[in-house]
Amino acid sequence: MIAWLLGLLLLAGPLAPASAQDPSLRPVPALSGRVVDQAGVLQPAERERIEAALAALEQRKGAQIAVLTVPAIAPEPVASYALRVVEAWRLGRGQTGAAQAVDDGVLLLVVRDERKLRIEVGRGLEGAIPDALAKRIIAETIAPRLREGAFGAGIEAGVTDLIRLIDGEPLPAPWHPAESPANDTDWLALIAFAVLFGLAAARRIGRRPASLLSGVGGGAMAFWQGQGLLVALPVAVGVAMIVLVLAALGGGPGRPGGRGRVWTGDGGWGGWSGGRGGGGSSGGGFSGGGGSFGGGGASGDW
Amino acid sequence: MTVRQILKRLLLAASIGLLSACGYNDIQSADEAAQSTWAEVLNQYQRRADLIPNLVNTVKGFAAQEMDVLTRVTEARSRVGQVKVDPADAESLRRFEQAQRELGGALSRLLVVTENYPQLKSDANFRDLQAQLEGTENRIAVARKRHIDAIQRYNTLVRQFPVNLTAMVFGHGVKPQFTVEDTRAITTPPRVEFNSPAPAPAPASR
Repeated sequence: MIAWLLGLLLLAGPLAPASAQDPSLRPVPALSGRVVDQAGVLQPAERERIEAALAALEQRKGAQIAVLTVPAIAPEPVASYALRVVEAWRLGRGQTGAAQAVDDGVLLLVVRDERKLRIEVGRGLEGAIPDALAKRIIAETIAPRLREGAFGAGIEAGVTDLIRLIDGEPLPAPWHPAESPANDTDWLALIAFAVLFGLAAARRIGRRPASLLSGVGGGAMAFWQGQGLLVALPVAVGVAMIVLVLAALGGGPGRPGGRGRVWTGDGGWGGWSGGRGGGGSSGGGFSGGGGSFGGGGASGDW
Repeated sequence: MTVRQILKRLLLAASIGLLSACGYNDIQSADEAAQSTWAEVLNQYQRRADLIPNLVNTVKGFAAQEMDVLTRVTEARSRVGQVKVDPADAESLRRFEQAQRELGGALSRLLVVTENYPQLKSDANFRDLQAQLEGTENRIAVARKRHIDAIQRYNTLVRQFPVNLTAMVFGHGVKPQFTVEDTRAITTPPRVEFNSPAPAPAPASR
């Protein structure tokens, strides 16, 4: 019985979308910091200065800028690679609980060998950094310096321009990394699941143990969903009562639950996915806040 | 009586639970995703159409003699506005795409022509417009890709057992998809020809 329950819980885990990735394309690097210098074009001092400026921006405004340099991405177009990067990194503040998504992330991408540049702008900053201004930053600020081979100076100047534009934009106050994401529990599904489970169990182990088991299970699920005991206890009692009554009446659907396909939990269980994390401005680690991108920004070359 | 009523309600709740277990909720969320990505596609196409009057006027100021190319853009834009599109109807979707493709073609011809006008190319206003147009084309490509993915997820869902039974009961059919050859054309970067914008001369006949 316990094994069965465990199996159900395992099956109920979120079905990870299998992303069919073309192996010929350059993989998206891990977001190891605000500046990911895969092409190795930055001096340590330059890199530290840029990182400090970006961290200060996030402290001040909450917006997240990241810089990525790669050696080459051919044959993929720069816009498509940049989009894949931001979809994986999820820069900017996404939706957290009741708070509206701000989507204030920006990526500055430099492709060293192909001499390509892209500024990818999150949805929330498309007003502060319209495409035309992004294009100008590329063509007038970054590209001339890169032509001289001054990667550090070019990237730093570009980042400074971006920060200046973002500073002009009124944004909500910066995040204070808060734990315990507000999960909205799918009550009906949870209770129905517990009841069906109890009814199935009632045939094997008898009404009373089954109602007890499903009540405890339902309560535990509610508790596990981040609800307090004040909520979890009534759920447990309620589920146990329902199972007891239904099983006593001999009711309940003929084949409770259906074994092949169980509750895939699109509402309640998804609390561990990407964008719920807290900012990452503290503790040295850096992670995207779940912001979304719609393809805004500009590309260019030097 | 009251017990029976309670029982009825409980059975209702249980059957709703069963529905969610046989994919009803999944269908709803996939359907919603497809609709919102479709709205984004329309939104970005509209954004492109909104840029055109400004672009045409700017080009006119420097290259009034290119009337032919300019009118073609304006005509294509008005045709786009006339197409009534219903994303559930494959035929109207095809016509919509056809019109948008023509507009895209007319626009890229216009941009090729502007290469001949150095003054226009150095005009700050024109460069900003060009950057906006580029950005919008990219947004269209992104929105289309996301819509295609959403439709694909939805269609896969409603075709698979056992969700197909639920889908059948509630009348959720397969949605028409954007055409594939067109996606390929749109995800590859546009080729810029440096020779002549005019149609290639016919090969010399013997």
